[in-house]
Amino acid sequence: VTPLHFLYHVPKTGGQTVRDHLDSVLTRGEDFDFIGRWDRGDHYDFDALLESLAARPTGEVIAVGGHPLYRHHAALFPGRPLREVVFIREPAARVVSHYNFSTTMRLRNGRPVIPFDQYVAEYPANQMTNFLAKRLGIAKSQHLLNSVFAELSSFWLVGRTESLDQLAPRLFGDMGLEPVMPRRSNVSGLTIERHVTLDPDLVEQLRQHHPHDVMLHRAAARFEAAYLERHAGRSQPSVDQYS
Amino acid sequence: MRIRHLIPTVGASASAELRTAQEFTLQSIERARRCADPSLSIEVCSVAFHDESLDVPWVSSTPPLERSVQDLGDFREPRRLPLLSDVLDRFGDPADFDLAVLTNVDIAFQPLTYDLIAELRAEGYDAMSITRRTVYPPLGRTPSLSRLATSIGSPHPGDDCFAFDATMLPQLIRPDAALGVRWVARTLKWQLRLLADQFGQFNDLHATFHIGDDRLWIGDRFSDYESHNQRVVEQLIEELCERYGRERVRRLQSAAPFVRALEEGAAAAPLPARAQLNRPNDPPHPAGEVRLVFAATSGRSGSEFLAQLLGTAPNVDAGHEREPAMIGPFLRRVVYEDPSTSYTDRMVKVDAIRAEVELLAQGSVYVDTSHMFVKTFADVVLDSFPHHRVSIIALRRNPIDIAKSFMELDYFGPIRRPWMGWMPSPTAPYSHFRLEPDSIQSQFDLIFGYLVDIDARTMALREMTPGATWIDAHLDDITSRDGASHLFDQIKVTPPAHLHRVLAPVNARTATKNKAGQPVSRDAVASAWESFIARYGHRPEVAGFVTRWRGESP
Repeated sequence: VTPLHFLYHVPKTGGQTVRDHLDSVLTRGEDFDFIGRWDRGDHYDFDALLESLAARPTGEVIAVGGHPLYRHHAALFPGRPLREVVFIREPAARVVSHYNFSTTMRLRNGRPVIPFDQYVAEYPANQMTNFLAKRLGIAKSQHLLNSVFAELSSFWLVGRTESLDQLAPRLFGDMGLEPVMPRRSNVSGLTIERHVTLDPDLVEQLRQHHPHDVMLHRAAARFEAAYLERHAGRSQPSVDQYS
Repeated sequence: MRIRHLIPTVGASASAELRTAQEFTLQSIERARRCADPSLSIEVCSVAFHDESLDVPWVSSTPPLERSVQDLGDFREPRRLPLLSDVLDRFGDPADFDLAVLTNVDIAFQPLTYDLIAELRAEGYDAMSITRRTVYPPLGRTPSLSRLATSIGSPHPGDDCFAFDATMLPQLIRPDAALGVRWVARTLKWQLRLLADQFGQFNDLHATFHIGDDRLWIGDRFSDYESHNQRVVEQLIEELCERYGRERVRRLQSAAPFVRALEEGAAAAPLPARAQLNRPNDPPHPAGEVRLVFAATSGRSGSEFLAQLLGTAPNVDAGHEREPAMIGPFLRRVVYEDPSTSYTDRMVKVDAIRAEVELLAQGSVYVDTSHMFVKTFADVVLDSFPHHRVSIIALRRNPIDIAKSFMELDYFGPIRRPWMGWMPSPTAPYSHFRLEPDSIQSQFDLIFGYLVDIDARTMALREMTPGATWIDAHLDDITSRDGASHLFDQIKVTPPAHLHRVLAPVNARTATKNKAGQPVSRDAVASAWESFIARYGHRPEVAGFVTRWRGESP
C-alpha cells in the first residue's frame, strides 16, 4: 500500500510552489489533487473531489493538497497510510507576503487597496496556528497551540518555508518523484508586486502580534531538522538542479 | 548519645587536591567535635589501606583495608579504591555506639553538624542523608577553613554524609561497590530507606561542604569502574527485591530500571549521569539576559495568583499556564509511557519558551507558574537552559485545603472530565507514587495519591537541579505584604510600588464548584486523609510528604 501525502496549505507558505511542481510532473485528477479557492475558481469544490475520487481507484493518488484540505478527508482514502505535510513561514514575513499578494490581486481586479496599517490591525492573530488547528479538527480552546504541537509530532514533515529549497526535493523523493528543486511561484517583486517591505521594527511589531505563530515557527525548525536527520545518508539532490 | 564517625582517608598516593581537601575535612571535624554538645560522645575513625594510615592523634584507626576494587577486576586506569563492604565492616561492634556516621574524605563539617545530627535523630529520623554545599576557594587567596565554611556555595545532590542507627548495621547487605564511583552511595541509601522507620533526606542545609565539583565520574575515562558498580547494584537489587519485595524496591529513586531489567532478564539501562546538573563555574548571567521562573506545585495552590503577583513587577512577563500548556497528550505520554520516549516531542515547550523570550525586552524575567512544570516539561527546560538562569518556586498550601478544593471541583471524579488533561492519576504506570487500581477506595485516594506524586516529583527534581534557585513559598505567606515582598527579594525582582493593591483574594473558582455541586467539609477531608495515611503511611513518599507538611496538620 503506497502512502498518501496530505499537503496542508497554510496561505503564503510555499504551497503553490509545491502545487505547481506536482502539476508539472503528475496528472491532476489521477495521481494528484489540489483543492482550493485559488486554482479552481470555486470556493471549496469538495463535491467535485468526491465525484472524481469515486470514479477512480484511490490507491493511485500520491498527494492531495490545498487550503480546504482537512484531516478528516483522509477517510476518503481508506487503508492508505497518511503522510501529513505542512510548511510554516516566519510570521512577519508571511503577513507582509499576504498583504503584497492580496493588494496585487485587488489592483488587478480593480478593487480598492487596504492601507497596510489597517490590514495589520484587522489581521487575525496567530493565523497559521488557527488555520492548522482547524484543518486538524482541533476544537477551539484556550490551549489550541498545545493541541497543535501534540499533533505535529506525528507529521511526516513540518518544515519552514525558508527551507523549501532544501526540503521540497526530499519531499518529492518521498513521493517517488525525481528529487528536484521547484521553481518558486508567487514571488513578491516578480509575479507579485511588492507594496510593503519588511524592516526590523515591522518584524518586531508583527511578531508581537502573532506570538503563537512565532512559537510554531520556532518549533518547525526542530521538526524540520528531525526530518532532515531521517533523510541523512540518502542521496541528496544537487543544488543547481531545477525543474 | 555515642556517635562513631567513619571517614575513609587517603595517603600519599592520592592527588594533591584530595589530600588538601582531607586536611580541611579533618580541621573542620576536629572543630565540630570540640563544639559539640558535651552529652555527645564522638569517636572519629579513619579507614585506610595499611600503607596509608592516618597519623592524627584524635582520630582512631580501624583495621587496615586489605583489598581494593583492583582485586575484583581489570580496569583501564588503576585506582586503588576501597570497597563499601569493607568500610562498613570497619564500624565494628554496633553495641559500642548508638549512631553510625559515614562521610567521604572530602566532606567537611560545620561546627554544629554533630549537634544537628543528634537533634535530627531525636526528632525521629533513624537514618538520614545530608547533602553538601559546594564551595569554591577565593580567587587569588590561599583558602582557609573559615573562608570555605562561611562561603554560601551552592547545594549539591550527591549523597556523601550518612547517619543511621547502629542497630541497622547487622541488617545491611555489604555490597562490593567501589568508593568514589557512581552508584556507591545509592547502594547504602536504598538500604537505609528500606530499613528506616523515618528516613530523612536533607538537601537544603548548610551542614557539610566540599571544595569544588570535579565530577570525575562523568565521562568515559572511568566508565569501567562505573560498570563494576552497576553490576554490584544489579546483584544488590535482586537481594533487596527478595528481602523487601519488588514494589518497595522499584519505588526507590533510580532503582526502577534495575528492577525492570531483573524482571526482563536483561541488563539494566539506567539513565546516564547528568553532566550539567550543577554548573557553578558558569559565569554569572549577564544583567541583560532573560531569567526564567517556574513553579513546582500541585494546582489549586495559588499558582494563578502567583503569576498575577509576579506580573505586577515592571520587568516581569508572567503567565499562568502559558502556551503550549503541555497538557492532554503530553501528560498522558509521561505517565503511561516511559517519559524518555516523549522527550523529543516535549521539546516544543523549549521552542516556545525560546520564541517568547526573544520577544521580551533585555533583562526581563519570564514567569510561567503552571503546575504542569513538574509533570511535563521540567526535564526539557532544565536540560536546555543553564540552571543558574532558572528559579523554581516550590509553592505549597495546606494539603487538606487543596484536597477540599479538588473534591469540590470534582477533580479525579467522573463529572468534570477535563481534569484528566491536567492531572495524572496515581494509578498510571509512571506515577512517582503509584497506587494499584484495586486498592483505590475513594476519590480522595486518587487526590491524595496525586498530591504525594507531585511532592515526589518535586523532591526528585530538586535533588537533580541544585544549580537552579529553589524558593520555598506558602500561599498563606505570599498573600501577605511581607511574604510577597520577601518572595520578590528571593527572585531578585523589585516589587511594584503599591504591592498591597495586588494582594487580592485567590481564585476560588466558586462558580465551577457550584456547578460540580459536591461541597465537602474540611473535617471530612481530614478524615479521608487519616484513612489514607493509615493505609499508605508506611511508603517513603508518603512519609516524606508528611514530614514536609508537618505543621500543616488539619
